[in-house]
Amino acid sequence: MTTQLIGRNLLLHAATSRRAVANLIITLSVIAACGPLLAPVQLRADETCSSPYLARIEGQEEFVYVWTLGVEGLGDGADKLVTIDVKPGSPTYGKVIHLDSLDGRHEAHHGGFTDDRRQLWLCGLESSKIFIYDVHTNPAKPRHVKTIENFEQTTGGAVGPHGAYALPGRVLIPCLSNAKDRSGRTALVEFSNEGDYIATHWLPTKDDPQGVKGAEFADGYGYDARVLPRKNVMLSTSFTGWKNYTRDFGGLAKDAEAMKQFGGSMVLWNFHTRQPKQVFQVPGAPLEIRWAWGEQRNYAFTAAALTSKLWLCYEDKTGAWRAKEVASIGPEGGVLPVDMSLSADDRTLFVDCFGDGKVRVFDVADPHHPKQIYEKQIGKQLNMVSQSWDGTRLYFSSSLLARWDKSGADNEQFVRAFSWNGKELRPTFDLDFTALKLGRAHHMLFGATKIGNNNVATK
Amino acid sequence: MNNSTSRNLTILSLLALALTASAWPPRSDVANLGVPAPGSYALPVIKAAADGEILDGKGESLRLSELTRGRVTVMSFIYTRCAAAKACPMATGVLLQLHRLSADDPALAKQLRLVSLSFDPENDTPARMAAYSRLAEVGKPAAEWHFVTTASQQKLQPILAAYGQAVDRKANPKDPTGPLNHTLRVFLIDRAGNIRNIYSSGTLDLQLVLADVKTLMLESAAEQPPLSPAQAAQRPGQVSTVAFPAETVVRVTDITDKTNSQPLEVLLTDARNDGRATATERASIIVRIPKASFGAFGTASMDTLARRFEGQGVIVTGQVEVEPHPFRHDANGESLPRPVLTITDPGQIRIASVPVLDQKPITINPVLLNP
Repeated sequence: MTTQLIGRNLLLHAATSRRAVANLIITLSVIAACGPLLAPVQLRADETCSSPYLARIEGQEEFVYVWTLGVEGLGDGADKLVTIDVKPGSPTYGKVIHLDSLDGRHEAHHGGFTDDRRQLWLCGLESSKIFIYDVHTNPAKPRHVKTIENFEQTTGGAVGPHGAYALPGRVLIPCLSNAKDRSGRTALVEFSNEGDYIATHWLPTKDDPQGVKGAEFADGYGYDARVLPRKNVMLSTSFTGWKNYTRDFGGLAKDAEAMKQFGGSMVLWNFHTRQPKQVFQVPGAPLEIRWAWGEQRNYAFTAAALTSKLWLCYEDKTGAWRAKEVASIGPEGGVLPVDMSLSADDRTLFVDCFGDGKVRVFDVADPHHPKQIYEKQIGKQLNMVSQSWDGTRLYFSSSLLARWDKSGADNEQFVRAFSWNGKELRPTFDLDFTALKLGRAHHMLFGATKIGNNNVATK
Repeated sequence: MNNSTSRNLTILSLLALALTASAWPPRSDVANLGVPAPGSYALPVIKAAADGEILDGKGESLRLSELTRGRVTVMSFIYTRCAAAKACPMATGVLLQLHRLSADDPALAKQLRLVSLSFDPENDTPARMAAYSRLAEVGKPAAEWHFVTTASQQKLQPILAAYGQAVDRKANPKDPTGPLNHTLRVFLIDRAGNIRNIYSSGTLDLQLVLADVKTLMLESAAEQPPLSPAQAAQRPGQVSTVAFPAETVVRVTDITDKTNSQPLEVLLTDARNDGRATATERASIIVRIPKASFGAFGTASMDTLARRFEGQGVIVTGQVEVEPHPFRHDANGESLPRPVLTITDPGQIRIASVPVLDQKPITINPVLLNP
């Protein structure tokens, strides 16, 4: 008998006794507090790298939303939200079924849903504008409903919103830079789901350590921020500032001083109080954070792009948090690992490498000793990856940044879908975003017409 | 309670106990970074708590704003047909635990309000909510808890939209966990009617909610004009803000062990030694900082702590306890109450830049002392 059936029957039988009802409610709270053991829910879809607070897709993803950078002279040249049909058996499976173009180019980069999954927030790294879409009324045709125009002024000088991470009733936006000097010094910002500003949390620096342990490593830089709710911790990583990411990569790479302006830290926060607690030295621009999902697995992976190293941030047996390098990614010389996806069973890590366009797949069943088990050439350049919950479908896209993407024949822009059987990736569909005159394909997020609540187990 | 119900509850309780004793970790292990001290962090305003037309358990109409202002409010959207363990039962369970805690905490009982608002008006009629509310009866004074509903979907929908409470009908109306799909939402609302935190199933932890409630209680107390020690002595059990000159900060050690000068606590007093009595004997207020909290103040040294406050006007916020004054008595010879506050966090004390009290000097004359 499942918890749900037990609960219902007891409600029917116990209604006449107020003490019985009170004890029942407390008992159900205790059972709920015990985690997902009694309430297993079969999840098949939904990206594994999403916020744990997000309402979940029921069944399979039906759409892939692609936040796409406009390219001057290509189609309408504007940043746009592209919707791809991925419903199995659909006559338009693997095809673009909807477009919504905005005015101009904003360095479309990352986005995210509100926790009820009714809105999709898409961020412009250069303009610092945030475009809010309604994906609830008609998930096949997202509609732009609002723009946050004054991000810099409202937040007290944070710029470069780098994505939107669902929290209860709110959106957390990790930023990349600041308005004062356009360096990597930056903040985490919170807005309500209605788009109203709540707070700015500046990352600690050596001059403003905010009481952190490891203040000597605090560079104040940001990139990604993700929460492990059951431990009340949040991790953030560090990239580079507006001056660097809006600059042509060729010129940047030759500028030794500018190349020093990359992050080398991760920050552990008390999530509830939004107070930084500890800074780890993680050289080489650690980027995406992927927390494990298992209830006993208190660790997260990140990859340092400039050193091509895989890092593990974990809670040790004493309850202390530590960070260490656990693997090299690719051959000597580095391959610029960027986006990653961890499977729902925490056993397989897909690491996209922008440098050589390959995905490298690691067995991370032992997170302290990852082993590469597979690699595949996806394109000439490669950035984002999104994986279904059941691990059988992966979607890849190409663009990193408008001025950092490769040039000439190497500037492939695509969304490519594959199936994964545990041993190899097999192509499913291939969309050439240049041939389709769409632009540079960047962040992919899953949509569906059937959305559950966010009160369910994660496994 | 009939035998069947009793048996089912016993089975369920044993199962719950077995699970909590198992290796499976608790849903929220806040012990990892510690439950934050109330007042040691900020709870920014998220948005104003929206108003709406609701019905109480007697079917009488009232405004939701009457239940979201004037106290620290924890409000949960529920429906009574919900049997999803991580949804309404969990939320009601946390509110129930807060309610029971308040029965033993007069300050909490006085300043906290709980609201359970149904989003299923067709089933959760006022009478049903009244019946459901019986679980809140604890037999002694506790925080007020309101079980309310709405007259119709027409009255309900604007409230749901304003609070961002997503509710949909499930495809299967006979789903054993209930016919409605919804995102769990519990709101923390301050006395002014502003939402200060929003909890979902991933963040609804009793200890954290309680820390948030107490943070807002401290905030409320700090916003009021500070009391004098004599005024604070009349408010035992209440969180109050008191201002006084910290004339002498007493370092307390264990004098029975002359080889050990380790501190036990420091005491802020508003008096000085006058040759006949010590500062602690003469003081009209005592503020304690226990040794275990020195670290929170950024030092392990009681001397450093004492120098920080000695001779300064201070404003302190905390729960007032009272003790009999060693020297001050009323006309009947009964000891007058003296307020004692224990503070554990620097957020509870600040230095006053200007004198905050027009306080008469304290004199010692046991025969002549009057209240």
